[in-house]
Amino acid sequence: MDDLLKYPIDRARDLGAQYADARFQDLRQTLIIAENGSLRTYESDHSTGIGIRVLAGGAWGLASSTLLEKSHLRQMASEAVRMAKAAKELSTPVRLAKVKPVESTVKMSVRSDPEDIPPDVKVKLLLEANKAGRSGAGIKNSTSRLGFLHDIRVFVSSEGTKVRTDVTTSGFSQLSVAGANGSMERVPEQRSQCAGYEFIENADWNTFAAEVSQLASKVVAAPMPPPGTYPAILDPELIGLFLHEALGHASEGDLVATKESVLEGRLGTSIASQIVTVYDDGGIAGGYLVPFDDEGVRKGKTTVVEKGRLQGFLLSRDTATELGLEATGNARAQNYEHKPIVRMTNVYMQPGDLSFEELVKDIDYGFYIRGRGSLGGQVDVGGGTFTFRAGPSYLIEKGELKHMVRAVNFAGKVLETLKTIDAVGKDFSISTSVFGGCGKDGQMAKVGDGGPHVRLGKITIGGRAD
Amino acid sequence: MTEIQPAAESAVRLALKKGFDEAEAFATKITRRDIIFRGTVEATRSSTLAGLSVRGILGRRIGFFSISSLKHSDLEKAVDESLRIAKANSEDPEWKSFPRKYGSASVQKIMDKKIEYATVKDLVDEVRLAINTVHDVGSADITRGFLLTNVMSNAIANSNGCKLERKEALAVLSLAVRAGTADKKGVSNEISVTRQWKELKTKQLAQSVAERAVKMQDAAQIPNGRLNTVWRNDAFASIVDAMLTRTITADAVQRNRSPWAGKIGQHVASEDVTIVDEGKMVAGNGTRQFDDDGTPQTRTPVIEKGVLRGFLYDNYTASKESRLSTGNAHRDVGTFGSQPNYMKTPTPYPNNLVVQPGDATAEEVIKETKNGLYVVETIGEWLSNAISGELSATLSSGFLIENGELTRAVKGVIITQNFFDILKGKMDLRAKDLHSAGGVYAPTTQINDMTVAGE
Repeated sequence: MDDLLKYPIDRARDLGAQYADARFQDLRQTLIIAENGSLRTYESDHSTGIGIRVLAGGAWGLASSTLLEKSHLRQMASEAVRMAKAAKELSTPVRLAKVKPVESTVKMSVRSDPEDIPPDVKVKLLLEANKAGRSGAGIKNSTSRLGFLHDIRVFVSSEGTKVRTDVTTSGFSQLSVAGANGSMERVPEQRSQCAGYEFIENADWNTFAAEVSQLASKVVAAPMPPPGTYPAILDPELIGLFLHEALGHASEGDLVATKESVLEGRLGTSIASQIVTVYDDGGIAGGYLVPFDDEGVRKGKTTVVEKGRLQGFLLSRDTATELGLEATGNARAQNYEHKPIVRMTNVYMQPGDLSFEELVKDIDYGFYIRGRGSLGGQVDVGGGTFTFRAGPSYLIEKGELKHMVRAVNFAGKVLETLKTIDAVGKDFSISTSVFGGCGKDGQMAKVGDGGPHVRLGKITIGGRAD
Repeated sequence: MTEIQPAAESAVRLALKKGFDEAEAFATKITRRDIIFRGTVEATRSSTLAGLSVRGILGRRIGFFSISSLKHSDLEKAVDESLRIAKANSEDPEWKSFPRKYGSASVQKIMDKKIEYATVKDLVDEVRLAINTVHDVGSADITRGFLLTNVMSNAIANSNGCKLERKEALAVLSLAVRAGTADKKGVSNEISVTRQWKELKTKQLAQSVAERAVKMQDAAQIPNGRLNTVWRNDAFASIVDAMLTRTITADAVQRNRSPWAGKIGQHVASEDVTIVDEGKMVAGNGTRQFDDDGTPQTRTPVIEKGVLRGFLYDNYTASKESRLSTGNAHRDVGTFGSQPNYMKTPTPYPNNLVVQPGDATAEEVIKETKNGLYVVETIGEWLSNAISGELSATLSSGFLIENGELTRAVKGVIITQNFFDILKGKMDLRAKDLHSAGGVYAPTTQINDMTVAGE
């Protein structure tokens, strides 16, 4: 493959490109869905493609194709150079941060390759779990999914970098819909890991699915919280999502360089309370494995916030130059077709030393907001506003957990909220998903996030004023 | 590159030869060009991709496999893998057959030659216009933008003799603009998705987004309360997209995840509410000659004068109820990040779900509302619960309405209301200005008495 990729790179250089790289991807995906006791779909795909990126006349040009023939790769290289030159007059010359060329192969060790497991074994396991998810009062719908992803990427550049990564991810998800008294509620939940089929084999998905359904049965009868601003505790799943949306996106170098991010101009200043330390780490256990980014730069552990102080941004080679910093290995592309853009890998908060009980006891009236069953979140990076849909959550009254509340939506402003963090728990967990990912500029990227239980002094909760 | 129609036909022949009782192949070819820019151009890109999927039936067991190639040896691999999956699969007692009634509807303006033959220079000219227009508004700059042209061809062949091919074009312009300084900053976003190059309206879009970004510099929160609201057409379309598109399908109803099940013929909305799926809408973003099963697209009323009339069907869900498909098979649902459609099996989804407009202008609706909140951009509306009807959206750009006029900028509040209650009477005035978001076209709409969580 290296030789095949060298071909368009040489061609681009011959045509005057200052820099060129080529990315090959071999991606196998399987998604199996069972719903209400029967198999709904078994979709399996094998895709391969090559993308060429060139720097010509100071501007980026990209060309990609699913056709992997040598003669076609030559044409693609010419096309990429032509594209780069076409917009030259409107471009600011791109300059790449210097990185040392590297040759490396990282193949994740997988005990049991999902592709070697016969389809009927997977189907049987899924149908059984789906059946278990049909138990529980008022369960109207049980949908269970098994997902597998095997992503091989090869990167070669005109600077001599040659990197090959090989990552397998497996996961199970359950969506349960419960109905009672004319009202319906859905609870989605998933577990994934960068691992082979052993991750699926070694867990009890029947119990997992049944628990999600029990939660759905319970939450459909739960009241909504009154709207307003309250203290709250976020669990590790939700603090991960919160940091990803509220802080992670704002620390992406492209958004900082364009001055869109609320963190622009704040490097070295205090942006969170002093007990907050946040990292972006491509190798943390439990997250999505990113040993190298799609520019062939090694992704290690980047300190974003240290003791409340903004310590670093997430950077690609070109945004690093713009900001006068070093590349952090955060240039990632959904696939060979897309331009690598600045993305997170796994963002998480460092744990503190408080127990869960200690976090709860000081709250007079507030909420314990949970990630299990959450639908996700979104941030308006420029405006600094974020919003989330939490899973079934709990009221906290006079230092004690009370009844369940449903449909908790919470929102706030990034900088204000980070400063209201007043206590950090000592537990820690991090997770990723084979099913979803993070969307930015029309591209999807696999990410992970997490942390400990964390208390916020105040957060706006949208409920219903009845 | 191999043509898609012969590849699809040859995959079906191969599948039958290898032992499938029935077979279908769906092939795709996409040519895409785009420019990614901010104040200046960041990258210019061109891409082509082709792929095909094979769906085969063995007894009543279904196999499906897709591959990013149209080469004969790869078609053979797709058939073999599909067969391996079918053999492992359990029987689907509901399976009847691939469509026997297939064909093309006559549709207009979905294949604009200007988009198909747009040169890089044409794209660069349009981007220059956007950059200059925003720049002229004073302190505003584009922080993220892209202009994309997408030309897609699809072919379907099945063992019942279906051999169909279609081609469609789409252009998209997206602009995110920032105004002001780090301490006092306004941001605003606009997107235009169209089948017609001339409808991109680049200058207008750039002007509007830049001017709003300037105004958003002064945005503040407002106190908790209940307010009458006016939703700009595309913001309202996003709400309808989040609350209806996944639950008015026969699939959701048959699988007990729709709140609309068992309500056909009932009054579910006030009498002035009509919502129709217009599969043949002129230049509609979801308009195609036939759906992803090969069934001609058509017009399907969902809510007519407040009464729930019907659901949207593909071939599979229709044959379960021994009725005809409404031509709503889609293979592009839930594929954020432009995963090509050939990789998915079909599922019913709206083509162009249209909320019937009124006859006022947007300005008149705002004036009539007197006091309230004008909602321009929201985030997180897709996190709402379409099953319980609990709608929630966080305002990222809006204005107070005072004495019928737009006054100060507002952001950061959470707006909630039950969507079923909105349909039943809280959705009052509607303008005539249809605009799309997702699979929905909606007008600027007044919604009364919404809960606002703010300071």
